[in-house]
Amino acid sequence: MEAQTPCLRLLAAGSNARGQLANGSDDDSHTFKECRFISCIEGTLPPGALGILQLATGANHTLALLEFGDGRRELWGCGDGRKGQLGPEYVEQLSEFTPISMPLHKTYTSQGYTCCLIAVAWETSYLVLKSPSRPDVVIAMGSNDFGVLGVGTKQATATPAVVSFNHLTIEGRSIDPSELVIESIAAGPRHVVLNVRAVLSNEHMLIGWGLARHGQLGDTKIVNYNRPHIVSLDISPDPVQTYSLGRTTALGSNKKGQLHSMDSWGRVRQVGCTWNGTYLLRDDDENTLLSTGSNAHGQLGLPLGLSNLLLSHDGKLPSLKSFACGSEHVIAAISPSGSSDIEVWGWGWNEHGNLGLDHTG
Amino acid sequence: MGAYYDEIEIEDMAWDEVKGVYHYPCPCGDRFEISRKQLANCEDIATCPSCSLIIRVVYDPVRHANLFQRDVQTRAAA
Repeated sequence: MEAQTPCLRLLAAGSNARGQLANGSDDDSHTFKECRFISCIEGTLPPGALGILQLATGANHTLALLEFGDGRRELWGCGDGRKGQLGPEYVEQLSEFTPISMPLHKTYTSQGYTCCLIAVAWETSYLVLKSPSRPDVVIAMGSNDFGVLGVGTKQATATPAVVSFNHLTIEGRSIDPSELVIESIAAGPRHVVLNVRAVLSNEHMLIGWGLARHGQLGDTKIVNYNRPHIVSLDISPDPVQTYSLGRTTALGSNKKGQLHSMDSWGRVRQVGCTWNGTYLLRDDDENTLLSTGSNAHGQLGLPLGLSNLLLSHDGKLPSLKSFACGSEHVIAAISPSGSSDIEVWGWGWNEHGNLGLDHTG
Repeated sequence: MGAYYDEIEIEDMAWDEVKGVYHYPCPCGDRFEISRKQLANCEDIATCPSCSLIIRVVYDPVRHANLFQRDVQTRAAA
């Protein structure tokens, strides 16, 4: 019997004002609907696609980094392009995933560069390009509110720009940007952080830019950094496996208790942040999911009314595989005991049907 | 505080020159907006056109009344 190729599908629910769910419309979807990839059989990924390496969502746009059998990668996008966040080709809106030519491809594709990492802020997109023999490159495109492109304040927003690290120094010593390897990238609505390794010293550092006045980038000296800035933070020599939005390492605003007790947990397998909460999935026998921050819409997975300054110990789900944070809701992949099936659980703000439950309660 | 999604300082809001409003991201993907005229009138609620959430804007009413006056004079001169 011929082995069947697994049929991968991408589903989406929630706000859809600019077509960011890629389901062919711009109406909110209160149930999970298949995403469309332009010119492909409805509901399927493009032919030859092995999977989606990364999915990044902004205010009203979505980027998907696809991997193909021959090792090729393609960047596809949908939703709002008015600020240049989908690159210079698409300045309106796309309600189906459409291939985005790698920006500045004339320069970089010929040098053997591929897009390896993506991140998305509110209306800005970031691409990390890597080449076997050349230094990593960060491209930013879209809105430049609060200097979030990282290229100063004069950048015309619709033009993709290469972010420069030439000005960075450590203790008065300048850094050679060609020695920096970008291990991961994470973006909040108005700031972005890179986890960077210096090749020679093998030291890790965090480099970020954008809005900083709540300490998102390690200090509150100025309102925003419009060029890359080294985040003042001691990081252990172990590579940070998952780094997301400052707050989990006691960076950023604590107005809603989102930093509460963050330093006291080890063995953390996955971290995640909503806009007002922090989530830690522990690597223990019970896969405890810890949450802290705002619980105004049940985002912490706790009964409403509970003090939002208490860390939850209630999230013991032995089969919790992974989770993902929206702005004010969370979804988790859970495999019930004795079953190989994966269930999707969700909780939190649902006004736009974000949880896909066919209601908005 | 309960009725507001959040309380936001004006310094965290971006200025849209074309629409003449300060704005701040709403978790639905749209944005909370408030005009300089509203601020000059001591209004402090920024609304999102796409959902039920609202924020309370923390700002200096005197400074924004002056800024609004300046806007009016600039428009009159033009």
